[in-house]
Amino acid sequence: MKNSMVFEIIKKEIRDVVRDKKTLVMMIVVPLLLYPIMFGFLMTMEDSMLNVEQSKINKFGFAFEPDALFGAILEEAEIQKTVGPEEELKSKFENGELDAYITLEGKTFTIYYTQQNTNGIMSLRLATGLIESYKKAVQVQILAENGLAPDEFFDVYTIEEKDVSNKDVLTEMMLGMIPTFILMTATLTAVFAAIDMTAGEKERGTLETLLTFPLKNGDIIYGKFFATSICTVISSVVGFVSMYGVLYVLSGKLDSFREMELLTAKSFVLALILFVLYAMLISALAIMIASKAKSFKEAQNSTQPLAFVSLIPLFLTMMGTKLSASLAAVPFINVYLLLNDIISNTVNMQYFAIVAASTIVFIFIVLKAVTKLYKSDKILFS
Amino acid sequence: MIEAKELRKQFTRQDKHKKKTAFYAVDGVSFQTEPGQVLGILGANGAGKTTLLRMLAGIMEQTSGSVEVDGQNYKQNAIEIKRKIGFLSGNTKLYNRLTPHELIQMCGKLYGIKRSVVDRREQEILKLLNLEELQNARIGNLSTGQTQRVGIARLLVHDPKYYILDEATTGLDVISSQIILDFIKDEKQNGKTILYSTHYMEEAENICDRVLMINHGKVIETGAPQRIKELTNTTNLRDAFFRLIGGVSNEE
Repeated sequence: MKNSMVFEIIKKEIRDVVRDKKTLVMMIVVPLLLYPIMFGFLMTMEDSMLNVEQSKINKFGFAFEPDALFGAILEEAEIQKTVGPEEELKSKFENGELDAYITLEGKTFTIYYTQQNTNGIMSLRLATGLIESYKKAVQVQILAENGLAPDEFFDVYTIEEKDVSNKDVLTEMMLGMIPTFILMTATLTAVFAAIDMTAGEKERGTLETLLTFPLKNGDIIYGKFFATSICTVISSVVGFVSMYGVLYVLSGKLDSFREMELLTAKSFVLALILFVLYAMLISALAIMIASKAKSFKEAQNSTQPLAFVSLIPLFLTMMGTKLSASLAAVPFINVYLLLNDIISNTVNMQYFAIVAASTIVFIFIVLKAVTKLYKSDKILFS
Repeated sequence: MIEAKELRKQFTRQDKHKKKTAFYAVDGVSFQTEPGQVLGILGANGAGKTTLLRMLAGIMEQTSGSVEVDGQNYKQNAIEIKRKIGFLSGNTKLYNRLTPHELIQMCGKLYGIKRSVVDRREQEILKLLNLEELQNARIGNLSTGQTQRVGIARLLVHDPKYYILDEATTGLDVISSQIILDFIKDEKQNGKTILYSTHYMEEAENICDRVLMINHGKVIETGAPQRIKELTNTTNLRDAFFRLIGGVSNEE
């Protein structure tokens, strides 16, 4: 492999790619605009959902006349009660005049609410709480009437809740979305660029032209590989910076994210290193798969599983899987789990080293296989 | 000199029952080129011309036999041999997103030519092919004739000793074809050796000093066009070819 030749191939490929509008949109516009907009929208949505004032949910319908005890509880909770037949309450609920309505059959209260919006779930919680309070008040009353001390039956144990997590769940969830977006951006860019440089080149008839030059297979493969990796790194960094920028700006404006711990300089550098490693890994794989395809379309079909593979780690995270020494050696999964740790500033440098080493080994294995592929007539002239 | 010795290339094909059968696309072809001559490789579609020329240009490996260029073979020194060859075929397309200037510069660098030499040659080539005004236009926006001239410019950058041109005029209109044919005549006058494959027999008759007729991957006759016509008692190479293959073409 000759560096000057590889450099020429890189230059040619990047020039070729950036002049293709579709690839350019995928590489720059999508990570720069689309993902941050989506991310910002999600943050704003989450914030507004959490900031819905519970006091705004207070319009309940009752298909029975609450007794004095229940009435007092409702009054204390500042509930605007509407009493009427069930059909009328149902109609008012559907028109949005009621947050929920309650019926009573014998000793069974039924709460009618909707899960289609967050207010509905809040209404359910509030209505349940009101009925629980009423139930307890009735029980206390019965015990008192029978000369029994209610305290001997109730509050035998008390429960206290203490959240011991470092960050609030919402912040962690939003931070956890960044690696998913970034790795998806990287995967899509790598796949697009790799297809263009391999199957696309074959389809356009320029591969044969390239083969006529005094180049070794390694020059061509490494040139294409580095060019794909560069495009992927640019795309990942653009995506990361713009998404993190949105996070930074919104964390100062949205109440729910005010306590968010932002990325340290060390974590930022580690994230960039990881993007480079992942870009190289996914680029090598995408080149290998796309090289086997006879046409652009066939390459698009055959590289589709890569997008799904890059989502597997997301499911693992949802299952609560954490990075361990053994998982740090597993390609794809390790990068994703490590990126999660980096973003939450809890990276273990030993794991980082294992992830880096295993990814580099995997990249070399894949590139060796691609170089071998490029000796096959079936691959080059099919 | 380019010398092919007992050159063979085996492929497998699959029938509709997915049964694979091996066959030779090129089967025991031997010949030598003469300096300053145009050697025509003639045959119908599917005769094995493209496979033969790909092996000669070092972009496809032979199953058996050997190719030697000035006494060197591809296994020992592929890079050095490729520097001596300019390969153009209907399949070797140009980079539509690059400009002629960028393409020429890239070719120069890939052939290991010094920047100053590439710059000088670029100016000469662009002038020669009347491409000066188009040097910064995207190749994809050029007409077929202009693209053909850029294709030739690519070949001239490294001033190759040998040209291998595979069906270079196929699918081109009369004017675009003439650009290629004029190029062949000029380079022949410059003392270059040219291997030129075509299935246009009349074209070959006009520009080739010798021809190699192949059918089903095998050489069926070789020699000067006049000699082959006399041998087959025909007045043109087309009739000679049909006489040699027994009156049945591959396409039939």
